[in-house]
Amino acid sequence: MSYTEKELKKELDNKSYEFGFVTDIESDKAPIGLNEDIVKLISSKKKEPQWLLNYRLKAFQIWKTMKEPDWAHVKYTKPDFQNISYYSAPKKKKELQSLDEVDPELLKTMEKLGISIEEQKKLSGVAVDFVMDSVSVATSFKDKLGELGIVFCSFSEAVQNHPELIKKYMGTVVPYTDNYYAALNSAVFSDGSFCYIPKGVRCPMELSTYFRINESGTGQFERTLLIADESSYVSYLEGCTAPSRDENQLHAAVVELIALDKAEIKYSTVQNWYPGDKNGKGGVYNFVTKRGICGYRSKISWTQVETGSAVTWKYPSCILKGDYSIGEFYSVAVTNNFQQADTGTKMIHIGKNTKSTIISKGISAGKSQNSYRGLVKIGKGAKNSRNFSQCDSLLMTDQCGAHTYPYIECENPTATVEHEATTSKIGEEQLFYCMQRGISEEKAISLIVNGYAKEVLNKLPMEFAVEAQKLLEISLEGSVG
Amino acid sequence: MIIKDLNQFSLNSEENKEAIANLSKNLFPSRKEEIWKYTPFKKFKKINFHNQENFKIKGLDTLNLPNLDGIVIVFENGRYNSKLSRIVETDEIDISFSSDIFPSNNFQTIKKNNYFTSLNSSFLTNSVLVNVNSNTKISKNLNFINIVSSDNCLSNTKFSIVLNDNSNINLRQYFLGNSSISNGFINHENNIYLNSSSSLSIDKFQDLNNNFNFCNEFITQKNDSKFIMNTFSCSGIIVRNDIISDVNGENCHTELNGVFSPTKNEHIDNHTTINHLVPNCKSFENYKGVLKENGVGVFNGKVIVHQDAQKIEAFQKNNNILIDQDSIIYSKPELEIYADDVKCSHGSTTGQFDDEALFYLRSRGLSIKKSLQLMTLGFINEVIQKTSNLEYVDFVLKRLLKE
Amino acid sequence: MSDTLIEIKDLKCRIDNQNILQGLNLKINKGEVHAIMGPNGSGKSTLSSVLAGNDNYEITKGSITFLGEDITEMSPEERSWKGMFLAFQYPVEIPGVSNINFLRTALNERNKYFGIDSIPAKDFLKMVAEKSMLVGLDNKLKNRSVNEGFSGGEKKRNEIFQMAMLNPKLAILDETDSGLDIDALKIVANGVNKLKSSENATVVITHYQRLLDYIVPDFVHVLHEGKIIKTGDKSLALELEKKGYDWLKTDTAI
Repeated sequence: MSYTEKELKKELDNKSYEFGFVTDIESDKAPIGLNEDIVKLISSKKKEPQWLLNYRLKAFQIWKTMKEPDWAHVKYTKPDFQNISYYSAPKKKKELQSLDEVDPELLKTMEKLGISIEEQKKLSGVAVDFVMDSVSVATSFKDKLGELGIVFCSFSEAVQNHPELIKKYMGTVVPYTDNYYAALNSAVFSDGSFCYIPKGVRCPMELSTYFRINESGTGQFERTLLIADESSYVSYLEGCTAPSRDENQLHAAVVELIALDKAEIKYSTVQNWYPGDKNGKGGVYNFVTKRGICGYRSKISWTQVETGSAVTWKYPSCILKGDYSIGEFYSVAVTNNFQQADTGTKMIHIGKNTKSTIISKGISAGKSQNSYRGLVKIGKGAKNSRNFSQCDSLLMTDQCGAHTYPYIECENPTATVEHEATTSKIGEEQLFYCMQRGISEEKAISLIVNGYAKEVLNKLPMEFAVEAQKLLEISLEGSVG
Repeated sequence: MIIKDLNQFSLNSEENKEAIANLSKNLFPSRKEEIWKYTPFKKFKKINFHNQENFKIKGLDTLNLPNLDGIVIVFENGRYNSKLSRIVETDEIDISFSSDIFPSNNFQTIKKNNYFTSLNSSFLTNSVLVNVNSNTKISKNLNFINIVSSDNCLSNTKFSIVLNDNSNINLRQYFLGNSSISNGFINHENNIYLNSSSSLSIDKFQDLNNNFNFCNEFITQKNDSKFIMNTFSCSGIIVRNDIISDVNGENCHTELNGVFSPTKNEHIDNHTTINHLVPNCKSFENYKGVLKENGVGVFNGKVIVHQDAQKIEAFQKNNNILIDQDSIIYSKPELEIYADDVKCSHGSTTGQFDDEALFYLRSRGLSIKKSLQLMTLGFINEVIQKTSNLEYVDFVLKRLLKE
Repeated sequence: MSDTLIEIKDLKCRIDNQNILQGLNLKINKGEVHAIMGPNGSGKSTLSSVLAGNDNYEITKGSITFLGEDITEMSPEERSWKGMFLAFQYPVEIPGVSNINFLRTALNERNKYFGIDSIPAKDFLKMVAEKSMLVGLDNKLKNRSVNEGFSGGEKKRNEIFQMAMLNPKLAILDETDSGLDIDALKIVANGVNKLKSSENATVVITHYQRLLDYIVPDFVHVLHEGKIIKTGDKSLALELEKKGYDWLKTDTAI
């Protein structure tokens, strides 16, 4: 990537959260608070079948008995779950046949995000599902994908049009009993994305969803369900933004991936929720449960670039159930100012000859706390399984923290597990070298950090790698103390 | 040298009853708590512990321990056994016995109590305090032997040592369970305080057979001190070590090494925390697990570099070999870093011996068993060679390799 | 007792469902030096592994008779005790185990098998001093971990040193010349020659004729596709050096 001075200047002028604008769209919002009636209201607004309502109600019952987890290395004021609106939809939502019908304000929002649907459509051939305040508002390229039998639509549409798939797979990877936030999501999820790739189909384009929290005082609870049928392939991208607000917004999503025999799913996330301001005020609480299950010889690969959110609690995981299945996790997590992240992965090896790779790069700046937490479990029957983990942390200031909590549980003696981790300061000699060659300190840091994160960034699809690189740079501006 | 307050302690029988009740009523810390996650408390169930005075060991020589030529302090079933002990008066060292817990003002900056330390304090039977005077270098090892020789005997013991400025001593601790008895439990606490420029190395040997041993160990280091602890855990129903070391002076060297080799459903659990509270220190950790025949091992090491503790170098390593079916390892090396100018790393590997190496050894005439033993030796050598005495190394190896 | 040391009859073996040796016959008498040559992938290293008892290879047919006893099913260590020695092409590194400790254990295991007392430390060390002279093995290497951090040449010398210590009846040298410069090659060959007697035999597996200038073979065999396709005296090696293997391959095709 090349940088011009002009670019640099522009970016330096624009240190605040780039996507922190509010979209002025009239919205249909549920009253605040959470009780059974609200759950029923959400379900009825979405014209859901009875079984789905029952599922929500069961989840709600369980959730009421659960405690918010506190084992993660993060400190925050627990959200008041009775002070959130659990449903907010842009009001003028109708059945949208084409992009022309989309509210112009919304289109403007997308443009500001730099992911104008039209542009995306023309330039990169990425099919985009746009989820705003938990409701899917536009999905492009539907017809073209339809020809291949690929279903890519909002979760609510899928409930109406493909109830059999939803019924069969929803909650099979992340049951509503799984954890506090997953239970909450299962009770009140409003929308999300759904994707089904039929047997033997290689999805010809990147599928992409953009999530955005817009409305104030709302939580976003979307669900993503992605099913790759036997021998299919899909690469899926997810991007997230939210406006700057003083209060803390809550995002509690559930993502379930199902890779049937010999299928491959590549799931990439660029997470850039509003991280709060320089003094730690506001920002999104990002409490997300992401998990995939692998069949025989299948592969799930998670790639994440995490720069946003005030508090992140997220462990994209793979259950390697099928023999010879493969799980991968590549992560770059940047925290600055008062951000806190506790993120990592779980690799659960159940099948024989399963393989997993974990590469995690943490970068802490400002007064932030950045933790890697990962589990590698080799079950009794997981003969000849292999894991390699590498978790590195880079510290930018003497006020921040970088922590590594790997859990290695090996119950099969034929398995090999390797974990390595290092923590160090950004190399002063490297910085000096760059600066002596006329590169500004900020630029030098960005160069070095990008080099440090390269292994992960390389795993992203091209157009996102560039975006992610920029994001890293923006999030680290002014980080040297 | 003074020996003071040497008295026998009888437990308040009511309290004792309550303790026994608690133990069998499972008022243990919950396995839902992170640090107790892997400890199999169910093995304590249905055991009625008692604590009666009962000396059974006939003579020191029956224990077959290597070179006991220095001071020997023997605790048997939780009580000081003066007959077996050998304490020589010197100007360099003061040894005293009491039931009091060690004066707390000297100790741990971050002392963490848990169920077992509370149990220890409440029902302490005997405690020993060793004071090493300033500017002394003790050449002979100090030996502390803590043995359980009665079925179901619960012994709560405490060993405290203070090294004054510029003193130096080697300590050998033995935690032994008589092979002919079962369900004995040594619940021990070590309190260790190193003043400026002092140096202490401990070789700790645990061979409990069908008995339990928990050791809670608290270490504080002042500037320019050097602390080395090598823990060799050979056997026991549950053996658990919780080491918390506060490095509270600059230019310290802290080293924790260990080898654990559980077999036959044994569980050996090692927890270490090194708190780097001040700058310019180095710490090293190296634990090796050799697991076979349903043996379960746990390594949970934590290095915390506190804010402003700059220029810390901390290295942590845990390697494990799973020799046969159904052996299990839980490894959790952790780093918590709040200062930026540090060099910290950790690594954990779990695997098995290389088939090719096994074939190479066999082609030179070594049986499978011998080959595995030799490879095991090679594997743990890095840690074993930390102790310099050959006789002691031989002794430890034989038990670790279960020859 | 006959002079036959080892006799291999119609030996077939495979690994991962791939057939490697496909009916190999070879007989070696005491006092002989045999060279086995052949192109890459012809099965030379497989033969040495199978003779030493590597159970990664599955013997599907044939037999190996060593000193009148069928050893096809015998463990590698028992073969070693009976006098079989393989100098590995790639000697394995064993971290943490010193060379000395390793060899002493090896000797004592053999003694145990034959019901002989362990070798006293003094005698053992004397023997080490004596035998290491043979290949000029640096004293430091003896106390280092087995092969760990050794250079290629040092590893090969260490193999011959071990051979000297174990004094085998049949020594198989698997590409012992690979990675050696001419001086090291001479030292290694010299060591092997000194160990030669009328009671033992040597099999030299090699790619190049060069080694055979120093360890002169009585017989040269050409291995191709898992079979010996030609046997001659040392002049065959020179001929192979000049003409390569192709002329022989076409022969078999006919």
